[in-house]
Amino acid sequence: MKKGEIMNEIVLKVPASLRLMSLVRSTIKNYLEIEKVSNSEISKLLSVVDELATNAVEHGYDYDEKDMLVIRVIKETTKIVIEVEDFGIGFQGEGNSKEEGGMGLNIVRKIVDGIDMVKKDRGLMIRVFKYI
Amino acid sequence: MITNFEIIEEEKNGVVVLRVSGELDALVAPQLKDRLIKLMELDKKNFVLDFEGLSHINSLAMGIIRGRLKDIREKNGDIKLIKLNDHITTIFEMVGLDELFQIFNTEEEALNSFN
Repeated sequence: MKKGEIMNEIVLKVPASLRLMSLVRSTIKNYLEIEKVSNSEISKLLSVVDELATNAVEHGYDYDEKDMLVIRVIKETTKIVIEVEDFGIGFQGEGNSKEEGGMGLNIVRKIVDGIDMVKKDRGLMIRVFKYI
Repeated sequence: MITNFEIIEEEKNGVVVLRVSGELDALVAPQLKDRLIKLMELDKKNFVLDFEGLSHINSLAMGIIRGRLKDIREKNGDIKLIKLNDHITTIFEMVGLDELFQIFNTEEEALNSFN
């Protein structure tokens, strides 16, 4: 990063708990409003964050709140990049809960313009971007 | 942090109207599931879900509503949806739930559709 350059990103490191998802969405909403992203785009991006983070809590950690999630949101000139990283067993692709039936990742894929899943030695990092 | 989720229940002409407001995420979705199951145990089978105050919905919640719809239709009942905002409508369309449910703009239209 060059001196004087404004880094338009926020990084949230939170316990892997569904109880904190509202806080995560609220914080990211505030950030995107500051970055003057439209309300319509913000609603869609919050759905993306919620689906990815909930998947990580459920599949990465099996609801074990001792572990952490890292959520990064980056505002670039023409797009928003979202990264959700866990350090657990990792989301196994389409292995969504029976009740949810795989809808979560379908929603994410329909909203974003690109998705990349990086399997790590421990956990998974999903990076998506959406043009705005 | 607790989400601002709330369900207000009302009965009109034998139809249970559930006004669901706030953020329906994976944390609180089981509350809606439990409420619907308890009402079904009381032999209620016709429901209107009023989403006017709903700002966010998670896929787990949509899966729960879809699952209950199947159970209720097997008992010759139904779940109708009203007052979805643009975002919720878009999300429903993305996963095809707009074709599964009857969706109305007003409560009156939904209630009349049970007759």
